[in-house]
Amino acid sequence: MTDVEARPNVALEIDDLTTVFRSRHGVVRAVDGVSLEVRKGEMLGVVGESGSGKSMLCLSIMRLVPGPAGRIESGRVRLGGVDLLRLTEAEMRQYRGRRIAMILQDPLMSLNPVYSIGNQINESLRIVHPGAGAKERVQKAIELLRSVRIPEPKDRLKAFPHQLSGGMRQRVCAAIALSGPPELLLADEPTTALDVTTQAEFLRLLRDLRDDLGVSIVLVTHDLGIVAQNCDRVAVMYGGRIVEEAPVRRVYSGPRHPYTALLLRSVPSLETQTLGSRLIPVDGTPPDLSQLPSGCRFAPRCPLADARCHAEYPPITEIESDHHSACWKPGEVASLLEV
Amino acid sequence: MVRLLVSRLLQSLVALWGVTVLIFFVTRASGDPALLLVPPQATDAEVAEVRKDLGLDESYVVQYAKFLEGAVRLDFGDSYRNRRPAMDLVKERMPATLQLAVGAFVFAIVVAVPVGVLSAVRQGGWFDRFGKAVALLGQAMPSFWLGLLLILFFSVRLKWLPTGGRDGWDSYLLPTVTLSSYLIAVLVRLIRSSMLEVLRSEYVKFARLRGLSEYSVVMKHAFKNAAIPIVTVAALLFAAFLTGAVVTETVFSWPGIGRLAVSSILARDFPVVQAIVLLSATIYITTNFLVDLAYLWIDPRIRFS
Repeated sequence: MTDVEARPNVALEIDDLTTVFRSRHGVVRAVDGVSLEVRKGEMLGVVGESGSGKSMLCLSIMRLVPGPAGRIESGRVRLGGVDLLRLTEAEMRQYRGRRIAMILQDPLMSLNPVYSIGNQINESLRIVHPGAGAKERVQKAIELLRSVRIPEPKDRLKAFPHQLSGGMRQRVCAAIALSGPPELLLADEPTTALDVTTQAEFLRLLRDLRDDLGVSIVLVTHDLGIVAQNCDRVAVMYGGRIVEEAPVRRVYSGPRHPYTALLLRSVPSLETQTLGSRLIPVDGTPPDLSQLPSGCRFAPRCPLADARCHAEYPPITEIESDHHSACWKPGEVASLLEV
Repeated sequence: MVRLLVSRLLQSLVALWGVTVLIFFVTRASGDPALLLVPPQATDAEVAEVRKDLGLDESYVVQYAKFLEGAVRLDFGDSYRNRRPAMDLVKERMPATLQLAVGAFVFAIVVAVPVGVLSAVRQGGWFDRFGKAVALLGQAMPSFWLGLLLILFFSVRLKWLPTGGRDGWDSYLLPTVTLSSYLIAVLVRLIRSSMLEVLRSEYVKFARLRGLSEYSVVMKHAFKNAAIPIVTVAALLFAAFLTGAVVTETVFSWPGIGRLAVSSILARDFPVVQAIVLLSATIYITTNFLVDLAYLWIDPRIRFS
């Protein structure tokens, strides 16, 4: 099962991953040849519009692409040298919740309304620590709730999901996800449904988990501001592919893909926002994945596009060290920011 | 929660009282029972004699007061037809109806839960198609026809089972299957659609992401949520079974409440009709009350609100 030597500082290595969906309009490639690595102890931001394939990427890693319409077509997803895509379903279940965990966008719906918080945490602990006795699990559950900063954790065990606020519920989800604790946590827009204050608190919690427990985190979001404040590196997705991948600072100071540049221009920030200046939205609509252009997927919306862009898809290449972009004209991108 | 239960109890009493008024006047609107008890050539005086004998000559107010006063003591008066207490007749028929109802209900649950759940889990597969066929057939086939088919095949052709009556365990099989067929069909459809909805939910997705086994995802996390609408329908159909399955009882000459009700209505045997209707209403109201309790048990959102 071990294909290659696991690289020491890499938690997860995704190689040429493709996930397809059968739909009325034909086959849609929701994730199209994505290669990506998540390094140990880092928080990687995955940014993109809705429908860009971010969530499907996460579900593909967990091997829970909703069937029978969707399936993983090809690729490798290696965790510690083991290709998850080649495991049997029973083997894969040993990884879910134990070594890779995922939390979802809607904390109001992620917990089962008819079971108490304690019941649901206990259930996960039973899987993760099969040897532990009932009392031990209760202790552990209290510790977990405390680790995600839920006040009066002992009393909360008896509570039902509807008795907690959205922020609290997302913390409970995080506590359940951390019961392993896992090496890798996939967080699919975990703060989208939360208000701004709760959002900031939850993101601080994720940062602390990364720093204190060394959990590698993939933070999926459509909010570049969140990425800037929390992530170490960022991967920008467009139309099922990764178009740019680099350390956060690098992307913000000098994006090398026009889509990233236009996204940055559409985000309000304290530095750029002066009286009279206005936000510029990214023109056009996200691509229809069932009718993709033959060339660069972003070309129809790209101000820099020329004949070659419309004809040929630019492969993702390392433009400078640790900075990848899928664009024929990475050098001209900077001009887009001078508006 | 206690307040909820008390208010439900009071509502139930009001509903029961409403039923007494309704059944009293509806039976009287159906015609004069005395005319059915005398020979066709009887004189008006003779008819009047019978009416007086049955207490039907008194004003409606007095009759109703007597009926209500008796009903509180579970005394509905004597049957017009065979001069025995109406309640005794009902009690005699109760065991047969009860056995058939419980048997058919248990059988329906045992069949419908696995079929419905598996249909949802294997949506679009061959088992799902089988489940849909079961649901369609069960709902489309009238029970008198299914009953006759079963008799024709198992009793007449194969001579395995009796054609009717109620003696020996083998006489229970065909009526049970016949009566449960509709409930099975309704439940399979309901369980399937309810499970499909719940299986799409985020908490089921999260349960899978947590690495829970498929059995635990389906039976623990999905089924309890899907059960909420199922409990209502199952309970009301069970109540309908308890108050007599007229068609099934007639096809299999089953000595139950349903047949007694029909014959009493045709004979304008008011005391028996009133006893059966009031008993049925009590069963329905009790069932509804139990369904409410079941909701409280299943869904904490109701329990704590």
